[in-house]
Amino acid sequence: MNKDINLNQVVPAYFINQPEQVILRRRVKEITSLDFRYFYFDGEIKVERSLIFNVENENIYKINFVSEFLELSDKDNELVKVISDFNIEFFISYGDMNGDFKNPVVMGMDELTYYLSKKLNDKVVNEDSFPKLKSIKYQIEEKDFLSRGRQLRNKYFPEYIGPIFNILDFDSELKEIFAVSSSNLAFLIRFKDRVKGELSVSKNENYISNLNVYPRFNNAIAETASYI
Amino acid sequence: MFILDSIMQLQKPLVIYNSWERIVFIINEFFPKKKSSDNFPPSFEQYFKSKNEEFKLNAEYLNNDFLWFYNRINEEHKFLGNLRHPLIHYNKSRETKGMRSAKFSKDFRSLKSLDIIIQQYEYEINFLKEELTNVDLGLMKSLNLIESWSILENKIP
Repeated sequence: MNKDINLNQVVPAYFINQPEQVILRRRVKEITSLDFRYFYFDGEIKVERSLIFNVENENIYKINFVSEFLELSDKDNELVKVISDFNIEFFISYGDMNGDFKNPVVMGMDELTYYLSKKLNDKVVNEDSFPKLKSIKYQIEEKDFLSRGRQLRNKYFPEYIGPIFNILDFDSELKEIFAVSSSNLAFLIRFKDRVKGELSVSKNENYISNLNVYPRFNNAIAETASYI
Repeated sequence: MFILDSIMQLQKPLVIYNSWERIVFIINEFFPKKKSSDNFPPSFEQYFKSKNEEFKLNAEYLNNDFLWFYNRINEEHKFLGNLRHPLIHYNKSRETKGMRSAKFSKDFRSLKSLDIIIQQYEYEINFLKEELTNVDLGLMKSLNLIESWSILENKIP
């Protein structure tokens, strides 16, 4: 099958699925304030896909999708509006080119910036020297925090009925807190050299305003603060 | 994927400090600071200072795991608190202490040495990295403490 024909069929299908449908609804809102439930692409469809960059073995593509007509219907399937020459731009990643196949991630610009930032943070977090939450990982020879905690509770405090060491609550909560801390710390590590460099350069400039654009040093201070 | 990640980001402020408060919450559930029905979770400093006072005549309670937590009060926990305190406690002075980046911008022209600022920044990042390791260690040490105190109180069934 021709690659372009394939894309013509696949891209409209992205919008049927949640959560990708949000991107379409956001784009329609820019054109009309009319509320709609269902939508249909009609007429000729053109899809252009261009590679914008490669980050850590992952290709990020920009997709430009044009449909001759977009028909919007209400909850009773009554036609409320037809938009001609409907066009939408979005970004897509198929995951690590050398890794396992994953479902494509379809993103608007906002999600793309976050996606890239998270990807680069994760690279730092996955380095060996980065702190890991070892006490939560199940180890046979040495008991993990939750199973040992529950064992102690049952042994010494059989009357205790509180929430501590409830695996469903505590396990996910600890992992979540640790993940947030790790991601923020990774951000600081990523920008460390850059902000130091900018700090040295800024000292030679006459205007203080150049301190206020990301990732200038003072922004990194605020980032550190939010992490504490 | 974006929904969960965004919710996680909402927790961003004050995560490390809160981790320590949670560890204290665990210990306090089993060995409360106050043995009354109103067992409000104390702060890290309040809890370990109070237990140090309570057990000063029972040296065996003040074991290595306890001292590991207790010695943090004037070391790591103090530094962490100094970073956090101006952010969340409004002050009446004219100094812009809370918004450290605003203070930095204000003082930037009068800075004598950039090296000191860079060193502080490096120190803070390394400190926070170390603290993340300590939180992981602290979880296990909190269990060691609960177990050793349980044995001392003859809680074995």
